[in-house]
Amino acid sequence: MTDLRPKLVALAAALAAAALIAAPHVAGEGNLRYVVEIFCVFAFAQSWNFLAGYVGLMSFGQQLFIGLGAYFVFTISNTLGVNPFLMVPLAFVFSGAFAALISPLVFRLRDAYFAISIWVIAEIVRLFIAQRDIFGSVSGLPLIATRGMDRGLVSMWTFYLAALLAFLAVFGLYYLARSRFGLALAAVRDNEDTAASIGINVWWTRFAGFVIGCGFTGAAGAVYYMSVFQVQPGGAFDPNWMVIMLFIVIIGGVGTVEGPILGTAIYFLLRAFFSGTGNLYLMLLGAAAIAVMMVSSRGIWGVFHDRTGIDLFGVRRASGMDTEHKG
Amino acid sequence: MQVLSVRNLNRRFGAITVAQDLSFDAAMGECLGIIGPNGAGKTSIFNMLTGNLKPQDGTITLDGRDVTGASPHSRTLAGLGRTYQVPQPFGQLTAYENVLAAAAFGGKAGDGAEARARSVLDRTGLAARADKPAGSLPLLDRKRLELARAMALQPRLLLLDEIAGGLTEAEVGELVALIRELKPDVAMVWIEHVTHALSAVADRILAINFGAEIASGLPDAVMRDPAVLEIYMGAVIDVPA
Repeated sequence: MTDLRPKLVALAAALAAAALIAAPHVAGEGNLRYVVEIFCVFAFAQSWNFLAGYVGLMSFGQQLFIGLGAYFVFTISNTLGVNPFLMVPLAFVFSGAFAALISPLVFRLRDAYFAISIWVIAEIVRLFIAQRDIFGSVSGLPLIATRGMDRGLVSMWTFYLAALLAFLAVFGLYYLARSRFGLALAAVRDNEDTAASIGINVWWTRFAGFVIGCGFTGAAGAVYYMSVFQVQPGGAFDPNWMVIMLFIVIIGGVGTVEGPILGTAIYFLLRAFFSGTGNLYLMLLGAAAIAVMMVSSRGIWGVFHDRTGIDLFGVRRASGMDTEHKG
Repeated sequence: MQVLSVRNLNRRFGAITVAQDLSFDAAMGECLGIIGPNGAGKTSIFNMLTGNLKPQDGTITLDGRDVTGASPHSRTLAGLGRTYQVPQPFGQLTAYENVLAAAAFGGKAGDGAEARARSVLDRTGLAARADKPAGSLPLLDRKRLELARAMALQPRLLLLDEIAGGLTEAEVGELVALIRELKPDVAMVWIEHVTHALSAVADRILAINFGAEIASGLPDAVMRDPAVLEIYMGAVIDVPA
């Protein structure tokens, strides 16, 4: 028996890539900007989903990496006059390197302590940046490097970068989870002692997952703030980013590729209809998250999957053996 | 050929001694059984063999290599496989994925991991439930999965931690038959409460109490040893020859 799913996903990836490449040539600039925001927020949420649901690390401070990625690109491209679009891959490297640097410290902490430790580091970095003139202190930095460029080109390349992030957040995550490394991550997530007992180096596996997840958040943070042409410490390191990521992942379903896609759609729909209602809107988000959690800890996609058995991006490795029921 | 050599192992937790000058060996194709009452130090000895607990003194040699200070995962790569007394599967993964992970990461090169995982599932009677999440399997299957995961590592030394505990007579019989099949290709150390299961497989038995050896030798001789009988029965009774 051959597993058809990887081939179907590859086909879907090709179609999605074609649609994304064509999009800037058919859609208006205003629509593109909205889609860029959706893609970036989706990438934030998916990076948190990767850490919490695949690596087994629950961080409450991922706004740290949004801010780091954004400030990295703004500072370097403004000071050196480099094309900021070329800096986005380096924002991944920079944020990942920062994650690597704090790992020896934060990995000593467990669960809630780990979660909060990264939040604390985010606050420290925010305060540090807000007091430095080279980072524009509290009022932040504008993106100077794109000023001389063609507006249409800037919006097209911003879209392409955001599209690449969203693409990777779906298909990259799928292939990563199915890979040998993905199997090691799942083993470490489920039971670290047993993982060690089958020869997996638990610390390094978790470390690699953390670096990749945080690097991705950083790249997405860079693209998000490039799309609005300015960054401020209060906004980039805002714990509200964390709330949005949590909302999307919890409501959609943690540990699945599909969950955050659904969660992002629900988040933007709620925002479109209710954001004019001020505090009521935030209460609505909270109520929706609580309602979903009370029904299922695995989110809307989890319930849907249990009821229907549908699993678009399922990463289960089929045994191909003659089993009683297909599980 | 000696696969495992333990020399003068010592470990104390405050006033409690869990290993006192213990020495034992296990050769390829041989099964060493370790028995002792609750609290005798069996689990601690086991944890020192796996690398989860550091001995205060003594050496552990695996295939001629000193692994006394080695981490659990590097011992696995050096040829050690273990089962857990309370099954510890990767709960969200299927039985097949549990065994596949062991085949892919343990020691030998990853190629052929899928085929090895399937053959191990077949041998352990788990084929029919291969694609079920491991967390949802009943106890016997989770015990089998412990053994399957360890087998997929193709270990030189297999450590079994009370694998017969909590099973019915018939289930124990099945498991013992499987363990006997494995025995020729591995050195085995089996810690067990269910002594008749152990006696059916073990070549030698080491009886311990308060971390110290009280008897060792052939299973029959150890089971009749007055010191062993006293611990298990509370008194020396006359055993007809």
